[in-house]
Amino acid sequence: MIEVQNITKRYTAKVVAVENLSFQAKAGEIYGLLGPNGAGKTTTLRMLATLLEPTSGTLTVAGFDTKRQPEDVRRTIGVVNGGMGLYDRLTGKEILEYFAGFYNMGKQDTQKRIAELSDALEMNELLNRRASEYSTGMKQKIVIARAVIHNPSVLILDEATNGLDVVARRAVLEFARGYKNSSRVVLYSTHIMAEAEELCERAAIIDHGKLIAQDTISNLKQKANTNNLEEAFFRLTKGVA
Amino acid sequence: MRWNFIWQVIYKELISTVRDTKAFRTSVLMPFIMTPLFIIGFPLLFGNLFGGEVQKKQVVGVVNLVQMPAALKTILESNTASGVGVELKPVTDPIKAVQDGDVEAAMQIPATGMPTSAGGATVAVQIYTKASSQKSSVVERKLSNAVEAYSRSLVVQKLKSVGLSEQTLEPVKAESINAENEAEKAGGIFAFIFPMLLFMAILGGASTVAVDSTAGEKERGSLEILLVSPIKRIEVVIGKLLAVTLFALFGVLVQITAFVVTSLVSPFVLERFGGKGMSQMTDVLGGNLNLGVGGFFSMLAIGVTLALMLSGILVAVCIYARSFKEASNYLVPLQLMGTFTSIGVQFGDFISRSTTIYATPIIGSVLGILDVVKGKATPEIIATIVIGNLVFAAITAFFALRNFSQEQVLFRN
Repeated sequence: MIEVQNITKRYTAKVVAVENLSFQAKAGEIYGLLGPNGAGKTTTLRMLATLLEPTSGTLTVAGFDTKRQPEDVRRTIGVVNGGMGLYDRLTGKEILEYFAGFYNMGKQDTQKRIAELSDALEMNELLNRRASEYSTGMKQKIVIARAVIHNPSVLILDEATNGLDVVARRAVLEFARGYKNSSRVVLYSTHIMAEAEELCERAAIIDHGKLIAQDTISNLKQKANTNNLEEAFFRLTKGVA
Repeated sequence: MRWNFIWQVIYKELISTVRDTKAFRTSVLMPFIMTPLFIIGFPLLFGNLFGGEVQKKQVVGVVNLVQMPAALKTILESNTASGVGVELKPVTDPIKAVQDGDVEAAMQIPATGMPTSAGGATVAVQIYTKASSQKSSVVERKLSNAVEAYSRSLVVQKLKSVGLSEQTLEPVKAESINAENEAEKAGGIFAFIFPMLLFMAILGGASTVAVDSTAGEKERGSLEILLVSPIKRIEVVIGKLLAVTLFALFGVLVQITAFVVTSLVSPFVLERFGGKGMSQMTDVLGGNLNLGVGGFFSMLAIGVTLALMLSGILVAVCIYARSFKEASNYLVPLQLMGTFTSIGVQFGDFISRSTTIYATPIIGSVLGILDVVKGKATPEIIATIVIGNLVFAAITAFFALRNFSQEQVLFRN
């Protein structure tokens, strides 16, 4: 479903954000992209989302090439990034309708989908209030609903639990777990190993833009000879310049 | 190009901006505050201050007061139709007396005295004032007029003694008649405020939307999410550009309305509340608008195309900024450019007008608005400015699109 092949992103001659990175994520799984801040995770996800172009290599999402079919790729994905990115003076409903419009969803389909998401995320009372009045947890619900308003087969979560309290964090993890099915994939990028250990079946560990390891979570721990993913991460990334 | 996507972007920006009630109210109210302040407030203030100074009995220091002829003393101290006289006070050091503020001006009568009849050598009477002070200029005029009147009275006496009339002195005299048209007279020196206020109104209306929809979206992180949806970047840029232009146009309409309303009201207000110096002050300053239908539409045409061009600049510049604050800083030079250009065209008479200068962005528009205010704009001038603005609007729109397509602009840290 997601295929990243030998991608390199070079900002300047000296600044290489991602170098020769490859990984694959299949339908029906939650795939982790793990690494410390500045490892190149966000750059990789931005290339997948067609916001950045790779200097070399190819990325395909649901069979669409990000370079040649960027609009098809964007129609297939939903993104939750670290920032909330809501329009404070619009209501939750208006925000969802605004984004639904770009997927050519009809009025009826949009309202039906908003109602579905509203029930699933328990946000009925939020929809007609302006985003400026929301708590952080409430905002996160709208952010998630916005990302999946068009039922994307690929959901990308980039440091999605940043700044959230324990309840809101739990809600995000539950939503990610519930979203995957046989025709969908969730790509979960984080620097919090405990979240990855709890959520992901497989993961790629990257550091300084390079792939360090890619395997199931249990195999990664086994390779590092530890029961703890965070410890495994330290052991596997040790010595990478 | 999917116009439904573009309209969605415009609609969202419109709602978002109108709901920012503070910013929206300011952009509506500002023209209705600033315009009367310039057109009515300043003439009222300066007119009353000037008139008050003329009607005031200033203290004037005189060196060798005892040597002053009684006739000159009478002229200086007596009230006339154009103002009250002055109070004379003996001083020894006129410069020190003026600098210390003991007196408002001083004059020095020669120690040898002053002539009481014409025919001898010319005797100079020194008048000491502060040249850069407006208050000093009023008393300086009173003193010069008095000395001149005394001098003339001596000459007239002399002429009469030989059987000649006063007219012998002035067989021919020059009379200046103001040949300006009504619009030029109404505009006066203050004509420059019209392009300045129009420029500020466009920026005031447009910059809030431009900053919020570009740098603001970047700062919030919503721009990235928008660009991940199937909308094309060109559609995002056009949507934002049109939204900014709509608010710029709104600024133009509000400002032109404020001009028209203020110009209709100002004669009554100035007459009702103006002091004695008011007519003199309004004749010099002007600041009134005398627009016909043609003038109104000419100003609108310049305003609309200027708004389009400035919107392109605003979007192209603001998308560079990483934050709201940074974008606001980028706009300062643009605001200053408009203000300085408007003030600079006060000296527009010295600028040789050509097609090139009218087609030059901002300068051409400011000169054109000034021409409209003064009733001197021709259809050719308006067409040149409009075409020039449209060409530059296309160029700035191109740069806005280019900036939206550059990774280093959208995602620079």
